[in-house]
Amino acid sequence: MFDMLRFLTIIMLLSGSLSMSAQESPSYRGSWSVAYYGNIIWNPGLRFSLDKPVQIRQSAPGKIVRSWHINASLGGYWDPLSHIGLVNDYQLHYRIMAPQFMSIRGGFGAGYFRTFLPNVYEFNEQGVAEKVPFAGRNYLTFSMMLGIESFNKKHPNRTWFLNIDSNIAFPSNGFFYPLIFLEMGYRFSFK
Amino acid sequence: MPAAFRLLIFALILGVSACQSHDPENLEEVIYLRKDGADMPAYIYGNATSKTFILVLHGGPGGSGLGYRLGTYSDLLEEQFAVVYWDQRGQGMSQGQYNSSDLMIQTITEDLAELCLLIHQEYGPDIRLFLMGHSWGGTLGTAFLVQEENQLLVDGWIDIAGAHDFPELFRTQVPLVDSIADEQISLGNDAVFWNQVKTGIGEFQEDLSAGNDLIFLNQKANEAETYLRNRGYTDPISDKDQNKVFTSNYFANNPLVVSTNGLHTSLVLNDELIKTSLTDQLASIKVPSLILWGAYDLVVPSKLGEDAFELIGTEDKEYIIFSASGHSPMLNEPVLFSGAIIDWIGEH
Repeated sequence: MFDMLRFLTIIMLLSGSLSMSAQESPSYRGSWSVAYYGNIIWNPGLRFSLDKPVQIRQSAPGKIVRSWHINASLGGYWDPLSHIGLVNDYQLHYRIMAPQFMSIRGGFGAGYFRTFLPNVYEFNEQGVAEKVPFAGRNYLTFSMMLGIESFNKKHPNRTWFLNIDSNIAFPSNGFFYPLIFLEMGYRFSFK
Repeated sequence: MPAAFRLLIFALILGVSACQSHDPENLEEVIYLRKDGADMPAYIYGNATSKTFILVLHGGPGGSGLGYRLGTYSDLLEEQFAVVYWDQRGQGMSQGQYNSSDLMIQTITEDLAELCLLIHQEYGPDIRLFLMGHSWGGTLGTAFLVQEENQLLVDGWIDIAGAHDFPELFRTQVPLVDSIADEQISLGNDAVFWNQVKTGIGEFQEDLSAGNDLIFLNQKANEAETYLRNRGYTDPISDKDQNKVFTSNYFANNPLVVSTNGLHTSLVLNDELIKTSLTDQLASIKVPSLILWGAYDLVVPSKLGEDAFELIGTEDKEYIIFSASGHSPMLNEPVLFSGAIIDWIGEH
């Protein structure tokens, strides 16, 4: 737990120092996104995220743009037979963008994962099984993502993207709980 | 927790519940047992009007309950009975927060005792409950039943290729695989393959020293069984059941979670398993017992089945060998297999 807090602090400090040196493009102040968030692809889910550039570098107009972003997201998925999962992630992203064409984005971060389990029973001291309300498990997570993003010339403020997100949640069963998501959706720039 | 958030979570949990069927003739329910830091799902399917439940103890360690919902045999059992596919602690889709040092056979037998009580509480004290354990599930079922107070919780024991004695298993498995390899080589069948099998198992002439050896030896035995199945010694697995094996393992379950849980738990438990011998305690099992084995079982040789049949301490016991099966007769001969169980439960 202490290591996790230390990691989160480092991420926040790093994000803060990058923010201070940000050379934000006037045309891109950040974005929000909504996406299909498929746990192992087929367990359906939905994810919302906010994205803010903290450093943008472009050697000349029309050239490759390299940027750092902070990204916060909240997603949920449904494993129909066993549980519902809620993932709250904070990540640092690096994006390489070919203007008006597409970009590649990779990132890492940390967050929180909560599961909700149906019909959980626990025996009380009298030996009677009682239903546990809102039962589930809390986990800390480390996460990584890799994705592509494509631009639409007709709608410059809207892009579609496809990400693979993976998380390691712990502690779980004396080991860790793996999560992998296919995230596919639209990102909308703030005007 | 804000009211709106509670409402959202409640609606989502209701969504999961909506996938379930409470029709007792065609039950589809999931209940979780929470115990000592673990949340373990039990998926219940089938005909509960029979008031007869079969609780499946999956193999491994590292398997999953739904990995045993395998088409023909489970369809036939579910037509007659309610079948409970349980994910044991640290396996399948079980979740939990505990130390690896708590992962012991004894802990899982205690989980099993509470699960039996929970099933009785949820479905009525008048139901009949039969345990059915395969391979490692046979070890677990035996370890559970030799604690005599646990025998009050069940009405019978179905032991499918259960490994109740690992030192004895190794003493019989290595020479058995070796002799089959010799036989195949003398028949001129794929000497290169069988020599590789012989070399692989040749390292294990003595008792195993580490749990990892168990995984390697099982792998060699499974390769040999697959070869025999491809040569027609055992019945092929039907396309329907092959598809069901695939969907059970990759869609009903999350394969990433199941394999991560399974790998960790098997590595922890195997060191205890290789020293586990329950042969001396078999006589304390007094519940009706049905022992089922495949004639070509190279993973848990039928010598262990003969021992179980001879030593289990009840007169009400039956031993059936499936002549065209390997380690998993429910896949090789599903109709005969489920028929044997249905008939036996009918007699009890």
